[in-house]
Amino acid sequence: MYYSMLFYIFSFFVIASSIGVITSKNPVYCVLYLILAFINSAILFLFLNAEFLAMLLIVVYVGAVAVLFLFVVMMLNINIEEKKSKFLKFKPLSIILGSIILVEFLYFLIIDNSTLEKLSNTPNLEQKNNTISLGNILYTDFALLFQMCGVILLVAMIGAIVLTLRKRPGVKKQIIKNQVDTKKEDVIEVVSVKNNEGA
Amino acid sequence: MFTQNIINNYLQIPGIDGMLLAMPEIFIFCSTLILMILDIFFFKEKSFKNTNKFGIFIIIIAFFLALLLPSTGIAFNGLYFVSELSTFFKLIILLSIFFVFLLSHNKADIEGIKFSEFNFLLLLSTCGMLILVSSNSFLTFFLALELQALPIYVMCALKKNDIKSAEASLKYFLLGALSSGFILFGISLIYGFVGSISFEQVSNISLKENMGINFGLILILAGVAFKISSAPFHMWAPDVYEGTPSPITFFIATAPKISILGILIYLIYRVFSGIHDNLSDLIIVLSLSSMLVGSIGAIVQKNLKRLIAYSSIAHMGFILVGMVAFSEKGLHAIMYYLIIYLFLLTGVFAIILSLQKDDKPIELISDLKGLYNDHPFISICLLIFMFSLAGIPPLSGFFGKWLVFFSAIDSGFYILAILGVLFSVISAFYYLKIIRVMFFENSDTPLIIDGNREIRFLINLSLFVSVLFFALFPIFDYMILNTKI
Repeated sequence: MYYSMLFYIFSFFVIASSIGVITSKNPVYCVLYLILAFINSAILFLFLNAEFLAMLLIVVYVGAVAVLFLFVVMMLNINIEEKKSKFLKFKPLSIILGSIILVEFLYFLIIDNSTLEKLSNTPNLEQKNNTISLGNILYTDFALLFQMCGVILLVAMIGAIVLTLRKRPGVKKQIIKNQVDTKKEDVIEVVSVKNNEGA
Repeated sequence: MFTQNIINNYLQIPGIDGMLLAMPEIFIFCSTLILMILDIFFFKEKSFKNTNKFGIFIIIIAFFLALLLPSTGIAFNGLYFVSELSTFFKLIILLSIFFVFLLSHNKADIEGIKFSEFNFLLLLSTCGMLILVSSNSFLTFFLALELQALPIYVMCALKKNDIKSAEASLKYFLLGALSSGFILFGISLIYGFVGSISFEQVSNISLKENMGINFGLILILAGVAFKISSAPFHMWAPDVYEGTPSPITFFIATAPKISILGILIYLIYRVFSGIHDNLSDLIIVLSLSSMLVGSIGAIVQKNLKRLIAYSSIAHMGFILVGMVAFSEKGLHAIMYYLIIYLFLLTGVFAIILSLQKDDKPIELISDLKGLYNDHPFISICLLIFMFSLAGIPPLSGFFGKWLVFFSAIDSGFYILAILGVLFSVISAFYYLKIIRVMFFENSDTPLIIDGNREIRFLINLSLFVSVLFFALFPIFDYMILNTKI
């Protein structure tokens, strides 16, 4: 009773904040609602004993993706009126897509229950911490794939650096090494000035 | 015809011994990391040339590692797999990377790609290709595909101040990402219906009537066709070939295509051999449309590299004919064709790179005017390469086409073989057009040869292979006929 009540409260928050994402006029509010939806769905994952997935959702989606969205939205000066008129243009398409998804959900919920029951037959996770079991698989059975992902990220890093780093001539820039290497003797000249003879 | 479940004959090698199978890849990756550190601290001025030399060195060692480690087996918990066929493909890939290094050695300045990162990206991409041809699970397949493609997207955009280079990179990246999406969707469908991503498990299940698996396979095939630029998924190829600097164009035209064809052969001949009847219709369509687009599309081209792009589309069509045949003969024909194609492209690109007009690399076909008057030897070399690409005996290109069409006739695909020969005749038109321009037309501005030792070596080597291919036949025969999948 207590358990399912909590579940319904958080599910309600997910739905309410998702509606907030698409209805609020200010794009910054949209992103904040999106973050709220992510955190609530992370809590829903906790109900399924998937604590690793919950943490991942918060770290990756809230920590990286949503914050990036927030930066972009704040930097772009989006005109609110213009945004509204563009949204209305896609209304028919979104209604069609939404109704297709609704029909699919209803089909699996009401008519064809067997698939859902098969899927919900998850192993008992209460004895084993799933962060530990994921780590066990990732670093033994799939070590090759893990390393390959690392190499791909390395390539992405090299690519980003080589494509954006450019040395343009004639640009005045702070060279930290030169600043640190500078000695007192090079820049300060001690001059003893006699009385009444200074400039 | 092949018997199924041959995969299981290979031994599972557990633990650290299995890592020995992946020695070339591990060696290339580790030495690239060391090379990066060396580049930062020691190669101050000659950063590009030194890393390039070390790259050549690394590739040669990796070549011998792949050649001299003859063991076959399955390693890394069934994710990785070395067979004689995969070793063969690894050797050709390493050979083509070696050619890329030699071509770019002295030409980095004029092509605007003088960054030491070019060499690192090339080495890491090689690593991905080598893993790709010996992947034994869909997850390894996909990750290796990304690992080989991601450096190429960056390399296309290396010429920073050139808008065409940026356009080519963006086009290649977007379409490559789209095709990766196709492949992933196909893999997820197959995983959903088979319940496993391991190639062994997939090949053990009878797949004939399963709608989901067939659909997934079609999606994978479409994604792979994107990557080898086979029509109707070829739209990116001409723009990308035109925009990228020439050494990188040569790289795109050879090594990634060889590696993806390698894994495609494995998928078709082994993993999905049970549903080959459904597959062969699709491949026939791919092959015929590639030959059609490649031969007709190249006729109106004025840019030399766009023409090579269309010609490579046509050649992919010819190679896919061997895939349709689904016999040992077809497999060997593809292997011959890839070797011949690699050497021919090497020769053509070495000549394009060595010629300059008004201190700029040549771009248009009309830039070749008067080549015979200025440099007879180079023009005769180009003549031989063009005749060979067109498939005129006794040059090497003829043997490639002959073997491919012969294998198709052997398996009963008469109409496909006849159409292939017809398209081959059509494609001879634009190869002859180039020959006409360089022999019978004159121009006022002279062509300058800026050939150095490496490029001259490559021209002579490919000339040797394409002219004396019939004499070298026994060597290649020994290499290829002893290869089992």
